Amino acid sequence: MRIACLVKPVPDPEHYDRISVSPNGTLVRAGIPIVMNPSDRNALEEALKIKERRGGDVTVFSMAPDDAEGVLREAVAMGADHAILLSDRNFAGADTLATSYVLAKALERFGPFDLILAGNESADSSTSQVPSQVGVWLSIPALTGVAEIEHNESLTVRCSSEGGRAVYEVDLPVILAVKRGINSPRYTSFAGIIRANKTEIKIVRAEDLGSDASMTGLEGSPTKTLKTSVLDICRKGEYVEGDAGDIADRIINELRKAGALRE
Amino acid sequence: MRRNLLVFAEHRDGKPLRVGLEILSKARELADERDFDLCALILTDRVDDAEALSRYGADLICVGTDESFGHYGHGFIDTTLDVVRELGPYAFIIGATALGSMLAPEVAAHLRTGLAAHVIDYRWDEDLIQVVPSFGGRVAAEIVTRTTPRMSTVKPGTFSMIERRGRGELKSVKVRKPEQDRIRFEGFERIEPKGRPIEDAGVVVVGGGGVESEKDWGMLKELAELLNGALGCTRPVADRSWSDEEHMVGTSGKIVKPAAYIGIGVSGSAHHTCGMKDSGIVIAINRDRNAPIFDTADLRIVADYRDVLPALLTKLRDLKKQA
Amino acid sequence: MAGEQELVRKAVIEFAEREVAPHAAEWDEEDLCPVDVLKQMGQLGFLGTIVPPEYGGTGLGYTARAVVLEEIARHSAGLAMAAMTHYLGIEPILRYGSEEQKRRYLPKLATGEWMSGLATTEPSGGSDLSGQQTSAELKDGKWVINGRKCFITNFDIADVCVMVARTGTDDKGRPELSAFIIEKGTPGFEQGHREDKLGLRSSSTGDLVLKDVRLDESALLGKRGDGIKIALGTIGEVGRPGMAAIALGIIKGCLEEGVKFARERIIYGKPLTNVQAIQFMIAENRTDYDAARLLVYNATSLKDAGNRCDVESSVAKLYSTEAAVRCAERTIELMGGYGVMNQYPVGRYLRDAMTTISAGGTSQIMKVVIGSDSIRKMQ
Repeated sequence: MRIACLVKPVPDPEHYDRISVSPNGTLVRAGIPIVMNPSDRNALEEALKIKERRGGDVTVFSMAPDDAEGVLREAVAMGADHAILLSDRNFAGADTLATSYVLAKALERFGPFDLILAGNESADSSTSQVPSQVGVWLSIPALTGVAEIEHNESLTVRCSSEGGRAVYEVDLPVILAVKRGINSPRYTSFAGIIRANKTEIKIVRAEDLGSDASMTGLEGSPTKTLKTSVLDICRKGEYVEGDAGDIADRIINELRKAGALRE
Repeated sequence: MRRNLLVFAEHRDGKPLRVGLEILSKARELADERDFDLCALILTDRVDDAEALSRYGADLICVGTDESFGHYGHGFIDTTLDVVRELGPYAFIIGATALGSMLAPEVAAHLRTGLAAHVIDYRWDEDLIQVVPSFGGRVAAEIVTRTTPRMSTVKPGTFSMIERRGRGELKSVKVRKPEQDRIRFEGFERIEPKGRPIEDAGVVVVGGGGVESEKDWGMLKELAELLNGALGCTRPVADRSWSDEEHMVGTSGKIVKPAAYIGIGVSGSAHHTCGMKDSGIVIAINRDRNAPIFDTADLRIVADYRDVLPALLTKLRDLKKQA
Repeated sequence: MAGEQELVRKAVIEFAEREVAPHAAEWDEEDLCPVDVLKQMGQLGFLGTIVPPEYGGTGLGYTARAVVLEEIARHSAGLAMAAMTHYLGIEPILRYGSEEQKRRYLPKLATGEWMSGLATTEPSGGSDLSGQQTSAELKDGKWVINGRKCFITNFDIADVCVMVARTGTDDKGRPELSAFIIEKGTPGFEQGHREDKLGLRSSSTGDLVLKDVRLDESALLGKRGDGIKIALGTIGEVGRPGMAAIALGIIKGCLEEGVKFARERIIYGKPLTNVQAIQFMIAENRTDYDAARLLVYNATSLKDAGNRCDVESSVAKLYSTEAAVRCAERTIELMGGYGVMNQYPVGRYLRDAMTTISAGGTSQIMKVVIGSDSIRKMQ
């Protein structure tokens, strides 16, 4: 079974309160480390589990600048066999449609794959769109919000939905976007780290991919960002400290004023 | 066909989901400003009263019913594409439910058009401005789409339902079904929620990663009960299985706007505050004076919840006895 | 390789935060050595960094080992002590073992399938090896061993131990000591009394009793008479930097917990971090951390490069273990009344820090090593 896994390097979501916007409108995120998108880690874990049970190999793909190599190396340290970094100036500024186009091109170029896994959403933009759109480019079905994958002859996939889980039987090839609760990702072993340092992270440019420049990057993106700003949700608050009983009285008082206390 | 906006109005068990009505309400305002028609699309296995959508402003209601539309499948995509191609809407908005989140990106990719995710506000300028959150809600970005239709998704709870009459013409849609779908629906497994839903509660108590034990979680549960409220959580708690994602507040969870929000041991990451910022009064209890949650709080209680909660619970129990 | 070290540290931190930090206080309170966690560490390669790949390890070396010990000790110095001591069984087999001994033990030890320890100390003393009472006599092709070892860490969880016994007297009348490999379950080899320690409590320490234990000749490690060299080499170049790395982890804990507390605690309406006296304490913790870190990784880098590091290891141990005590005391002081409350971990850090001083040779022994080396070199 050939499995592909899509991973995205993102600024560490633990530190998003440190992001600011400079006077000229560009996003300032200096000093925030780049990490593997959390749910992509779950996708990789699921890929590795399936590989362990059914054999085959796992290739991780990422469309990102050259300095994202570390995240792919981490994926190899976790157990991925191959890593491909899609990096080109022409890919920069892509929205989900242009991103999914490049990923689909790469999946074709290095495929075919029986199963493509991805995280359900990225921590930075949280659109949950790329996996489905990759499916459209490749003309294969996609399911998102995947909470469980049972691998028998075909796949049984459970997708979380309002109030429960929808169960689907799917034929391969398919692309699945997994939720964080699906598994707990393994720890990186030292053997994996040694292997990762010996594994080539293949850097692929637009010319290697034969992608149409009008479909990638800013040019290939139908959406355009006009302006970004830090969302101001600050309130004029009041600090309260001291005796627990006094604090409790104060809370009850405020709830009463807000009409939230049914008496 | 007059210029129009199209809204996907998801139905379940014959009834429209609230999110569709919320979007219709907002879209009605947008349509009025530009003198557009407002169209709604219902694809479902059963609809009790399609015309009811006219109460929230729909001028034209396109209805496609088929037993296969009780769940997601490729028929949804093909039928939706037909409707969009026929109506040629200026914008097409879909609720970010489980089904909507699968449908929207596929339709957008087929139409080679842009899709703004989880819009928190719309505004007309020269074009339709779509405001979306990123970095878990820390940052807001204004997006325009250069292609038609301008597609977007909206999370439940983002807009308020406002009643306003539309013409309410009905039109039936020809249903398309693939001969053989490569994804086959096998059934729905209902999951009993861990506690009362948080979306409609007047008081929402939220416990965060700072809640240290399952025993302490019990105190939060009692607090929510005494206040006739619901108990929500943040990601670290959902990971510890004391609660679940159905009760998670924030970007990857629910958006809540209760009259009172009480955050306990919640650090206040952007991912969370994005889902609670529009609450009435916000009370936060945290030991760390620098916790970001305090920026969003009216009452900033710098204390150990293990000291405050027992006192608060005692007083609330007494109040209840008196009543 | 810098990238490799970074991945190693990241991997250990992730593990320690999820598997160690939430349980460390409980292990300490119940004086419980979590063997299952050690096994998990073994499977991830944390216990076999000095074992080359041909014997089932990763060959990442002594610096990687110190990173493991530092980051585990950051949350549980006791657990790090158990892991540290495991390496003291590996090192002598790696250096002095026959090919057969290496093949038999190293793959199991590198993966944590078997745990190990080093048994040298006796009731008569630890650093004074010449006073050893445990005897081994060669009778009919078997080594017959009698005696008692005490203060042996991992005494109950070790599947195999390297031990030292007196095998005779040399030409000058001095005791001849030899090293042996002994497996758990060997008849006559039993666990004695378990100690109740002040600190490092999530490691178990106790007596090993040897009554007419009969070992094959092949159980001899190295040559007859190599005992002192093996024991001192292992303790001096692996045990002491190991203790220093554990102390370094404790200092890191003090530094981080101190800052966290000072940020959260409000005094006269402002966070404690605004008070300059508090900033000074944090600065002192930080300076101790940076200094100890340089000393520890200096010693392990020398070892990785194949150089002697006994004196540098003593310097690292002397400084780091004493600095750990200072930092823990300072952090308790910083925290005021909270510092002595057991709901905060710093009291445990102090007990752990004090316990690192005596393990592997006291500060006075370190000074003897450092002092005599300095005097010899600077003549």
